[in-house]
Order: sequence, then C-alpha cells, then structure tokens
Amino acid sequence: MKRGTPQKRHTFWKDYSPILIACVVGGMISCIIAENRYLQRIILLVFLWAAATSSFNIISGYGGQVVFGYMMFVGCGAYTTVLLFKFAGITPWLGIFFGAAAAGIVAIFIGLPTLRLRSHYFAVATIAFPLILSPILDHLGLEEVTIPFKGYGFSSMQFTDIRVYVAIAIVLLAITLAIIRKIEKSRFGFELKAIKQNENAAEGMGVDVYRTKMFAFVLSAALGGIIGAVYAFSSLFVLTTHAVFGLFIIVRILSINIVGGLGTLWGPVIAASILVPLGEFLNAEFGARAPGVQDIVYGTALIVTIIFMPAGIWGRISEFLEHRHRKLGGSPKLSFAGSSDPGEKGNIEKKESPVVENTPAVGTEDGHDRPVLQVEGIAKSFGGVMALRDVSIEIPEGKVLGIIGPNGAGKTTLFNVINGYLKPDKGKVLFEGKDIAYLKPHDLCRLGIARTFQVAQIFNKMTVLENIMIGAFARHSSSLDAYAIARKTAEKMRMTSRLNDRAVGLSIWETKILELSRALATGPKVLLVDEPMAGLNPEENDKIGEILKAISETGITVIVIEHVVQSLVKIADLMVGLDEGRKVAEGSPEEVISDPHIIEAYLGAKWRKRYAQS
Amino acid sequence: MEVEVWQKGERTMIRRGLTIILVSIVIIGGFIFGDKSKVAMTAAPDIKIAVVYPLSGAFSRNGNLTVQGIKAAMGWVNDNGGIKSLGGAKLVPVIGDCGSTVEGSANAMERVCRDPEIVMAIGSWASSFSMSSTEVTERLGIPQFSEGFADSLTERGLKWSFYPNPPYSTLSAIVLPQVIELAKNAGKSIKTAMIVGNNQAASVSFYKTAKEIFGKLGIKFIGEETWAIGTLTDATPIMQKVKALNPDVVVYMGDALTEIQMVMMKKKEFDIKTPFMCGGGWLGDPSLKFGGEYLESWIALSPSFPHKLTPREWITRALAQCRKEYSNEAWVGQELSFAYTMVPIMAEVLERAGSRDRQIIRDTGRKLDIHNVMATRHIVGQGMAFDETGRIAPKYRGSLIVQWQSGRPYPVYPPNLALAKPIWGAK
Amino acid sequence: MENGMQLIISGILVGVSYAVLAAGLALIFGVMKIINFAHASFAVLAMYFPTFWFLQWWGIDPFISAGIALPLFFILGYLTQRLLIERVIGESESETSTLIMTMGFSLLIDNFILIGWSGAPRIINQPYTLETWRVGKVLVNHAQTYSLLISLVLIGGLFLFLNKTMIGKAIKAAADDPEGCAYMGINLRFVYGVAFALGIAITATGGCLMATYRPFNPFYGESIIVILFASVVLGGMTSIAGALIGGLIIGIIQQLSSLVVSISLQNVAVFMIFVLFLYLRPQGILGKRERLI
Repeated sequence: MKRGTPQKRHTFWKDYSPILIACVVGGMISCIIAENRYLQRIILLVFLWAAATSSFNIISGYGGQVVFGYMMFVGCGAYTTVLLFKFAGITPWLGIFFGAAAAGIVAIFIGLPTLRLRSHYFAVATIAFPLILSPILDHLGLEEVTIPFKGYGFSSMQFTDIRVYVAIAIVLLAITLAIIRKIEKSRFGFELKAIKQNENAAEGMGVDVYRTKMFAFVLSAALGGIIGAVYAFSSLFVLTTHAVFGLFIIVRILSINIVGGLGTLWGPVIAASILVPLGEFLNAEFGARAPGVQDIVYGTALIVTIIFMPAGIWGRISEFLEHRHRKLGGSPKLSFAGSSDPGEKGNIEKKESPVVENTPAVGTEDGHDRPVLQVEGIAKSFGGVMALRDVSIEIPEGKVLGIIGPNGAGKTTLFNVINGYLKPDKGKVLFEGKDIAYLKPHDLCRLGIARTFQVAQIFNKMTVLENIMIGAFARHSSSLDAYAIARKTAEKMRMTSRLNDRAVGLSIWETKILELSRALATGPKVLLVDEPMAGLNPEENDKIGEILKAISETGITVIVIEHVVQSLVKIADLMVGLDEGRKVAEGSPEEVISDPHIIEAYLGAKWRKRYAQS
Repeated sequence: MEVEVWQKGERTMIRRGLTIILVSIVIIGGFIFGDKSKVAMTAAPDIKIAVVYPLSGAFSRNGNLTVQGIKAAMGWVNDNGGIKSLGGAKLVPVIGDCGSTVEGSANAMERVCRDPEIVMAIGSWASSFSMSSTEVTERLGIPQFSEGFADSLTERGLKWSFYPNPPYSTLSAIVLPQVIELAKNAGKSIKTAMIVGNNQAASVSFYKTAKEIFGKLGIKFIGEETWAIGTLTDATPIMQKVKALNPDVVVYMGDALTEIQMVMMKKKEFDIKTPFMCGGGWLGDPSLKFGGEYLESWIALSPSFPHKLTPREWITRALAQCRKEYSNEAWVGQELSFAYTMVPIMAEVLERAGSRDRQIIRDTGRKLDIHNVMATRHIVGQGMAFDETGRIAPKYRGSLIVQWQSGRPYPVYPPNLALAKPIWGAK
Repeated sequence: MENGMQLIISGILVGVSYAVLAAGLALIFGVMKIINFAHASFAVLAMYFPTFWFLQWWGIDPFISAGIALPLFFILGYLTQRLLIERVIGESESETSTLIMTMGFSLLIDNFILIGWSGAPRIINQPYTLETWRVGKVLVNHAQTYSLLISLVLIGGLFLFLNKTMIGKAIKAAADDPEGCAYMGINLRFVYGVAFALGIAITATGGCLMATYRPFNPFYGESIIVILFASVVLGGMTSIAGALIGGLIIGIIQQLSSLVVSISLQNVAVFMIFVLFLYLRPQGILGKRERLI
C-alpha cells in the first residue's frame, strides 16, 4: 500500500476531520463572543483543561495506569518555561519544548521503578513526587514567581487579546487529539489496550509491556508539560507552586476524565466543556455563601459517574452507537484502507475441524529431528517448595510433545520458565541452541515461542479480531498487515463469523480457539498449550487434538500439558511425565503411560488394564 | 429493517441525560447572557467597585473580614453624602470570590469586571492573588487598590494599581530599629536573633530586610527555621531549636492561624522566655483571644490597626457590619481595618476626579497628595500620595507596632498613635 | 543529645497518631483491596463532629467524644460500604474505580466541613492541651500522652477483635481468600461492610485524639493522606502491624529530619523514603511479595 493513495487519504480525513471541525467550531465561537473577555477566558480554560485531560488520558485512560501525581509534569513544564524566560530570557515558544523535555525526563526517572509496580501501587507512588518537589521549590524561594511583563508581543507570549491564547490552546488540543487518534489506530494503541486488560497475556503475546507503558507515560508527561507552560502564560500571570503542583489539578483532571470517559477521544473534551463552565458558574453564584460548592459538585460527579456510568459520557454514547450499529448489521468500525468487509454471516461451524494450512512466518526448516527446544537441569523453588528439580527435556522440531503429571507436579511452572514468566534458579533453556532462560516473555514471543494459558487469558473487552491482531503485532508493526494476518488466521480457524464480537461473550470452545488463533498469529516456532481440553466434552477434546496435530504438521512444535490423557495419547508423538517437580518418564506415549511411576502417581491400575487391552 | 434501536431502560436513561444537558445549557446560558447588574435607578446611579477576595478556601477568614470592612467603610462614605461631585452617588461593592487558586482570582476579577459600569477595583489580600487580579485590571484599564505589602507587587511596572500600605522592606526598616530601642529602654540589649516562620514570598522579603537592618545594628542571626505554609505538623523541633539556641529575639513570620497556634502553644509549653516579634498584623486577629496569656508581650508590625486617631465610628461600623453578615469579632484587627486605608482614599479620589471615566480616575489618583484630613485618619503617616509604581509615597510611609498586653493587642508605637506603653519580654 | 531525645519522643507521639490512622487504612486495603483516599478526611470529620461540636455546645470532653465517635463512625463506615462502595467492587477495574470513588468522598467530606464550620482553623483548648511533664530535660505533652495510651488500648482492641471474635476471624479469612469464604457460606458483603466500618471507626477515633493537641482545619486531611499511604506502604500494604510500625517510623523520621534539614523539608524526607521503599522493597517491611501469575 503506497503512501498517498486515494483510499489512504480518505481514511486520513475520516479519522482526523472531526477533530479539525470541533476545533474550528470552538475557535469560531470564541471569535463571536469577541468583546467579552470573561467568556473568552472561560473558553480558554475549557480548551486548556480539555487538552491537559487528553494528554493525561494517554497514560491513564488508554494505558490504564492512572497517574495521580500528574501535576508533577504540569508543574515541571510551567516552572521550566517560566524560569527560562525570567532568568535566561528564552522566549516561551522555545521554552515550552524545554518544559516538555524536562517533564519527559522526570517521567523517565519516575517511571523507571514505578511502572513495574501493580497499578494501585503505581497510582499512589506517583503522588509522592510533586509532594517532594513542591516544598523543595518553596525552600529555594520559588514559591511565587512573577512572570515578568516584557511588553505585549509575540516573542514573550503575552497578549492583550485573550483570543490569541484561545487559538494557541485550540492548536494544543488539536495536536493532542490527533496524537491520540493516531495512537488508537496504531500498533501502539492496540498494545496499550491489551496491557490495560491483561498485562500478563499481552506480555506473552509479544508486547514489551514495560517499554510500551513507559512510552505512553513519557508522551503523556511531555504534552502535559507543554500545556502547563501555556497555562502559566495565558491564565496565571504569577506562577506559584500551589497553582501548578496543587492537588486540585489532579482532582479536576480526573473528574473531567472520568465523567467524560477514560480512554475515549471525545470524553475529556465533552466533560471539560461541561465541568469547567459549571464550576465557574457555581463559584460565581454560590462561592461566597457556600464556599467549596464547586468541589462538592466535582466530588458528586465522580461518585455518580463511577457508579452509574463508569465508561463516562462518551464511553456510554459510543457503546450505544456501536450496539445500534451492530444491530443494524453494519460493518465493523475497524476499517483500514484497502480492506474489505468481513461480512460473512455463516453459521458457526464449530464442530468441524478447521484445516490449518501453512501459517505465515513459519521458518521452513528441513524436517530432521534436531531439538528445537532444550530444557537442561531446570530447578525452581518458591519459598521452601521445590516446584521443579533438575528437569531436562529435549524437544524435537515439528512434533507434538505431551506433558502429563498429577496436580502440583510443576507442569505449568515448567511452561512459565520456558516462556519467560519465571526465571529458573538453575539450569538452561536452549531455544535453537541459545540460552533464553533469562529473556522476557515478549522477547521470547518474538523469537518464536507462543503460548496459551490454563485459564484462558483473552482480552475481554476487545473483539475477536482485535485479540488476534495483538498476536499478529508481535511480528508486524503496521496495523494493516496485522489486520490482514488476523483475518487470515481467523479464516483458517473458522472464527470469521465472530470476528466483531467481544471476546467476553464467547463460549468455552470459541475462547480456546481464539487463544490458539492469537498464539498462531504471532508466527511461532514453538507453541505451548496449557490444558486445552479443560471444560470441553469428549468430542470437542478430539477436535482440539486434531487441530493441534494439524498445527504441528505445518512445522510448528507443539507442547501440550493435559490431564485428559486419553485424547493426548492419540496425537502426541512424544510424552514426558512429571511428578513432584521431577521428570519421571519420557518416551513414546505408550512407554510413558505404562511407566510404573506414572501409573502409581496418577492413573490407577484400572486404566492401565484398559489400555493394555486396546 | 425493523430494529428495536433503543431498549426501554436505555430510553429512560437517554431521556434523563438529555434533560440534564438541556437544563444545564439553560442555566449556563442564563448565567452567560443574563443581566447581572441590579442597578437601582436613583438620581445618581451607583458607583460600582469590584471587590475580589478569597472568600472560600484557606484564606476565607482573611478575605471575609476584609470584605466586611470594605462594606462598612463604603457604608460610612454613603451615609455621609456619597460622592458629592458625582451627584451624591453611592459606592456599591460587586463581590467576587478568588477561591483558593491563582487561576480563581484572575477568573473572579475577569468575571466581575465584565460589567462596563465597574469603575474601580479592590483586592485580593494574598500576594499571589493580588498579583493576578491586578494583572487583569491592568489589561482592562481599571484602577485597583490593593492592601498588599509584598515588594514584588510593585516591581512589575503596572500603571493602574495603587498600594496604600508600605512595602515590607519599609515596614521592617521602620519597625525593627524601634524594637531595638524598646529593648534598650527595658534594659536589655539585643545581640542575637533567630528567624522562625513560613517561606512565603512576603515572609522571605521580610526576613531579608530584617537581616540587613539588624546586621547594620550589629545583631547576629544565629538560626533560621522556615517551612512551607500549611506544612507545619508539629512545632516541637522548631521550638526545641529556639530553646537550645536561646536568641535575644525571634523574628517570626507566619499568618496561618494553625501554625501560629502551634508555635504559641509550644512556646508556652517549653517555657521559652525569648520575646517574639512578628512581621504580620495577624497578631491582632481576635480569633487569638483565647490565647491571651500565651501571647503576652508578643510584638507585631502592622500598617493597619485601630489606633488613637482612628475615628471611633469607623470601628463600631466595622464590628457591626461584620456581626451582621459574617461573625462576631471581639475587636477590630488588621483585616477588618484594611478597608479604612483604602476606601476613604478611593472616595477622595473619586470626589476630586468628578468623573466615572477610569482613565481620569487613575490619573487623579496618581496625582493625589493629601494629609491630615478625614480620609487619611487611619493611615499611620496621616497622609497619602503615590509614587510612580503606585506605592504610597515615602514621606507618608509608617508602621505601627502592636503589642499583646493583658490578653489584648494594643498599638504601642508611634507615640502619637499609641494606646498603651510598650513592654519588653514576658515575666 | 537531649535534643535528639526530645525529637524521638515527639516523633513517637506524632507517629502513634499516624499509626492508628494507618492501621485503619491497612485494614481496609488488606481485606478489600481498596485504597481509601478519603481516609484522612474521615478522621478530620471526626475532629469537627463530634469532638469540636460537642465541646462547643455541651462542654463534653474530647476524650469522651472519641468514645462516642467509635460507634458513630462505625455505622457511617458500614453504610458507606454497603450503599456506595459495594457497587463497584468486583468489577475488572475496581481498584482504580474505588480509588476514584473515595477521592470523590474526600472532596465531599472536606467541603462539607468547610461549609459547615468555615475554613478557620480550630483548636481544642482543654487544660491538658498545653501542659507538659518534665522527664529530665525532655518535655512530654499531657494530651499527647493520654492519646498515646488510648491509642494503645484501641490497637489492642482491634487485634483482639480480629483474632478472637467470629467476625474478626471472618474478616481475616476474607482478606486471605474471598472465594473460599464464599464457599464456606460467609456473607462476604456483610464482612466487607464490617471491615470498612471498623477501619473508619478506628480512624475517626484516632482523629478525635489528634484533635486534643493540635489545630485542625477542613483540609488537614489533604496534608496527611499521603503520609498515611507512605506508612501503609512502608509497613507492607496488607499488614496492620506493619502499618503501625510504618506510622511510627514516619513520625520519628519527620521529627528527626529537622536535625539534618530545614523543617520545610521534613515531609520531603518522608516521601523520599516512601519512594525508596517502593523502588527497593515494595512489599514493605512486613508484607508479602506478590506473585505475578
């Protein structure tokens, strides 16, 4: 798809024109009100707070990591720009970029350790930083910094006509919204969405969770810094630590974001248009008699929204629109230039085994039996419990390896070690000859190790298509390519009719196929499947087994943990038995299941007799 | 295609949502486009003066007291014939609340001054609020009076603001040597001093001046303990230091009542005898009345406190007005009397201008030079004129020393305005 | 050196008040994984009502008001949990949702206090407020000491309740394994309600005690909520004993820091230590390291 083709231009306009229109309208309103400085000021504040909330939205809404200490960035940007202007004479037009840089660097510094924490720790941690910086600034005598008045003029960003500031604010808002729109459609946006819903699964599907979060964080911070600087010059006249580091800033931003809808494009804009003038109005009318009424309204808005409309105003509206869209049989919202609508309305043919052809990006090795994966001397303990003791297995390429063992044998732990979720205390994991024991799951995914989970870890709120796309993104950075691959994979796995349905509504069978599809979309060389048959009936068990066999016939090595040994035996080329963290049997399926250790620990004499007769 | 687009529950919700939005639009629209000015059609239309102070939030008490004083002062002007050169027009305050943010104070001033009939403005107590509100009036071309004494207020080169109170640097220059004198008369000599207080901009400039002046008089500063206003959780460590270092005098700057109370309590608890001298007129705040004995002999400087020449009527009016609308105060302190450094002067300016034109009023104000008249009764220097930055002219600058004696504050200096004799150090 | 001694004593006295409040916070978090942003606001509310109000109108001693506050805020906490918080627990993003909801609570409470009692800082002036005992060269405030003793009783009572009563054990069980509790027939909603109520009740009483020796204003909660978070994190987010230790440590750090830095930076020291713990040992002193999978 070459750049600039008619279709691509069409999509560009479709995506970005609403933003342009909204901003132009806003600008026009502000011009119409011409003489009235007060109203212009309100409009200015609406745009500024909308912009600040939108940039906050990137990390907190789209990224799912609510940054309670966001005022740190607003303040850093403001202070950097003002101080540079006051003491070094640097024009604020240049200064705001220094402000953005300062905020971004601070974000890296804060994010380095805190982004590894769980979300609520993170939220609380970030609040500490502005509370550390603020008193230091006060102590240095910077509690109150007058913005020197160097005459009205462009170079000092000081204008008599507020409308100039309104224009600047509109431009800022437009840029922020455009960035968000771009993110929504890009790989980055999908990864953020996946991280927000299920971090572990995202990591396993090749998403570098830490780096993605950090990028969103820094972006959010830098934008916030610019907006803080503009806020200082356009609305404050004097910069105080309270004005840009105060708690009220995060209260306002959070209220606007929640009421509008976390993680939505228009939410902050709509909510800012309502809450900012409303707050001003309340302050004006009731401020003297009932002080603090503005915050009471904000507080109530927060509580009511969280209970009754957690998706926020725009979230609710877009849910409703999507619902109606779907009911009317419309094509999916997600359309990329050059794509055709997957409008297949066929019945779900879930009982028929899908035929898995050569999935793309599988390395074409000669089918000789060299071990693609080697586990050597792996040991892992938790507290005092040895989950794995000296486990060594050689897994030849293109085969199906079955792993069995009683509960607590260490099977899933083994998977976690191979897959990178856990680091072994001892031993090596060699993939194509290289030790990968200490790599992270997302790196391993990109190298070619994919996985499904015992409890299916799908991205509930995303559609089937989007789920699979996350997998495809492991190897392709363009949304178009990912979309194509996802569709292809879905076709092969007979999931086409469910492409636009939310993953949360799928049946157990469909969920498992989805997980497999997603894993396949990552173009793996090795596929780890953890108890795929749990919750299925015998007929479905066999179907899944056939699918797994078919997958291995395309060259992918499949390793399956399973309790339903009957079905496993039919498809496995090799089997390994674990018990209490040790490998107790290895070989062909018949050898393993007749191994006395296995039988004693696991199967029982009855089954052995039955098998011996068949 | 027949599709049930909205389900019942959703319909109600949508209806509700739409209603809320419509109602909000109506309210906000009414607010925006409604006519807020209630002009009483009398013979001469009222003179509207914007009054913007923090009425909610951390400084609500200070703001409210000042506003009540302003109302009382305006009431006095009006009852004495209003502005005669404008047909006896009465002064009317149009009040705005800064809230507790800098953004809020600029918003409030912009909002109130929408009305083109606003002729002058007063505000906004806290230096950062005054800075932003004066920037607004500067751009609108409205003459604004502010009681602020931070030096930074007049360093901006604004043309439309007026500051009838001397800046901190001057206040300290006047008062501090007096404090030394006081000690000398009591037979004590001051060799060492210590700074205790918050690090607000105004406080910092006060400390700076104190260091300069004391330095010139050979007094050494042996310690400095400052905190960001609002962050003092426990005054123990500070008072520890004071006790340990035992300076001859403590220079104290703090006007957050909570913090004052903590420091006061600990001083008494630790039985610290060092005299405290304060750079703020908050010392006269009647809400401290419960702490009478703990404040014995504490000194403060203030440019505005009822003194010998302050007309009795002004004081009773202020108390009555405050009691009517805000609170029952035991006496008039700094905030409640600030208005009398401003409103009578403003009335005088209006009187001489004889016009509602803002430019003319401003020019008249800048040219003003009066002394020993009714309007200047409450001013320490008994006169008013403004220099090119809008600050009270040096020749009229003066400050009171207020001291707490037997459970109440009294002005004890200068002698012509004093209501009690100064003492040094508690027993 | 007695300077240091005095600071440590003050630090302990201040620290105990943090500890009591932090214990309530840790209880709520440990059982329901709710970060209660409004925690300090409840404490401040208790300072005004019943403490200040009762003293002003009926001359009732604050220590008695503290006793009244306990059941009063228990009920308030229970109602808050059952009527409001319950609605958002259990959904996928409930951790953030509850944090936001409690932030809404803090706004409501703080400003309700502001409207009701104005922003003027208040102070309780009882005889013991300003009296001190002399222990060598160290001065120990009466009110703070009484508060310390009552706090100890309070904490002891809390531990007894949690360990010896049926409900207390149910609360502990719910903290460990909510699903298991449901299977055992324990009414989780009721248990959560009691847990939250208990946390709030303790906090409120702690607040009353604090009011006996320090001035308070409607926004005091804002200044200490992050200190409480720091105490809880320091001690290990799910451990009540940890929170107590954390509160004490922070109180002492706060006071001792004035030996090294200007008092304007005392909270900076506290928060820096907080951040350091988050970096190096997020499970705190007594907490458990969480497994990712």
